[in-house]
Amino acid sequence: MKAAFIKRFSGIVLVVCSSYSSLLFAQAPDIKQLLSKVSDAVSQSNYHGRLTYEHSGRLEVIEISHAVSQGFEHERVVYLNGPDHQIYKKGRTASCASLGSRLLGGSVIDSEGLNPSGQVQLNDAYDYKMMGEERVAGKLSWILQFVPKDEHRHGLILAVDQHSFLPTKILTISGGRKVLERLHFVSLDTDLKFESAQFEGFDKSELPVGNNVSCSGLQSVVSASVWQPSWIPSGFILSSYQFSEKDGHMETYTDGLAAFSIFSKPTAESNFALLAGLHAGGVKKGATVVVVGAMPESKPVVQVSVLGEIPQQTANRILASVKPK
Amino acid sequence: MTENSRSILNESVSALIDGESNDFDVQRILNAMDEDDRSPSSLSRNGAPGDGEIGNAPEGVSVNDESIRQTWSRYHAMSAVMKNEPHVNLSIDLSLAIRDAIAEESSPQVKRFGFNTISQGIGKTAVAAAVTFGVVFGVQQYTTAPEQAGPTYAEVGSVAGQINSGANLGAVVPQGFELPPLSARTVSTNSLADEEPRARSVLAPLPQSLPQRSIVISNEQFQEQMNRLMHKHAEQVSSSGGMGLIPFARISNFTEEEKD
Repeated sequence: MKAAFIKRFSGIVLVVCSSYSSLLFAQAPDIKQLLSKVSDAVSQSNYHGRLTYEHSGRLEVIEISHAVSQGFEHERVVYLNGPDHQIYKKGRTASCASLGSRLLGGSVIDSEGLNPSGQVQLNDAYDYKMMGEERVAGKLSWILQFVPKDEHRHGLILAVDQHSFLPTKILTISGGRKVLERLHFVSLDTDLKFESAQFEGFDKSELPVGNNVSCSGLQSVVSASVWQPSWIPSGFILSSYQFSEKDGHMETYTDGLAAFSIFSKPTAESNFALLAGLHAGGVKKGATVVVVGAMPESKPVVQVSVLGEIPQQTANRILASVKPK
Repeated sequence: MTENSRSILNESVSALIDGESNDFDVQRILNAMDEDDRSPSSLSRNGAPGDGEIGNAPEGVSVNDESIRQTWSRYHAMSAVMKNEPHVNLSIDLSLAIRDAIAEESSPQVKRFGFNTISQGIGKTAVAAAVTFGVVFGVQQYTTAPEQAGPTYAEVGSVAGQINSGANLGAVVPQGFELPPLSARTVSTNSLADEEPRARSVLAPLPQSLPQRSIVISNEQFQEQMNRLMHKHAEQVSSSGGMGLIPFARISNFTEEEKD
């Protein structure tokens, strides 16, 4: 009698437990959908927050504000320690889906040239899984883990606010399981309605940078650079190109999470020798590496710099592969 | 050797490298080496040089001895990397040569028990007491330093000033705070934790060969160029990526980093 009761009771407990766990599981959203919501939320919602950037034991704080007005994005970055410095950006249409955000959102993007499969998607570059939830900056957030499928990119842990779908924390983890840098919100206000007075604060018309950010739209980016890499890690796609007198050609590649830029320009030999002597071994800051080199057999010397949140060996390999088109 | 004792041994090696070992740890490592030197595996190795598995071990050294040695060297390299020490060379292993040199040296006879043992004990206690006194005294000195208002603290103030100027070199201690007294271990949320050695080498010149610091030592033209490239990169990643303004955090405080 007693045994039968226990049996039945344990059966009930089991049913309750399993239904509860499935309920919990059902709450966790599909990661693909979640990531697509993240890339939308970042460009289409209003928010204001403070973010710490921790690298090699240093801690720096910035304040970011993002507002959408009449379909256009207005952005401001204020550096709260170090020299007084602010950045304003505006003009991009909020609905503009950049290549990087589309990749993050799970799109499969056709790519020509360096990717043998002709298509690029986030799945090719990372395995990802839901790790659970955690409170970050007062927001209950989903914790996602991205494990790179090759050694050409770093791992990531991403926290996403369950309410606003904004990223609240990004940890970059090297192949040696070291945390290279930690981007972590300490406060984040979402669902904001910016008053016009506040809004003027970061709607400056004289914009130091990025005043003509155009939407790359759905067409793929075309590079006019005369020097291009003959190898890039799989999963990366050209996401922007620009040219300036000072820094020459600049190509930026992304796999949806990580990114690197290649700068190439002709330079005086003496100038280059100086730079090459100084850079010796590359420069690092958090997850960012910079490697500088000269394109072989180039006259005048073409200085190539690869900069990005990728492992140094990968940056070196990209650097060595840059050739005339 | 069992898995368990091996992991205990590894812990001892780790403790020794971190300078946190006790007498037991040292004894354990030495014992393990001695034991392995006598173990049959080492005999069989000497007898049969063709054995593939242990072919890498140098003459007269057993496999386990060698693996302790490797563990030591590996942990040492990790420790060096974590402390941001330049020039980690894993290819040179001096330990065998040093051990042989020590073995050849005639050692003084030690009495089993007697005055020496007692005096050694007293000596140790005295050293411990002296260190404790030093720590307590040091802590008092440093903790009084911030209140250097009165003229009575003039001397202490100058010490604090020295340390502060050192802190500016390393640039890791916020204003108004002192460096941890003596060699207290700082706890960092960052696994790289390279601040501690910088804080320790207060009066030493800045390390010249560390990649992270090469931004600091390089000329203005190079710095300016790197800053500009990083800025441009952040801008492009921000506008063409899915993380909005977050990439801009990476260029924060960059100019200040060059100054210090």
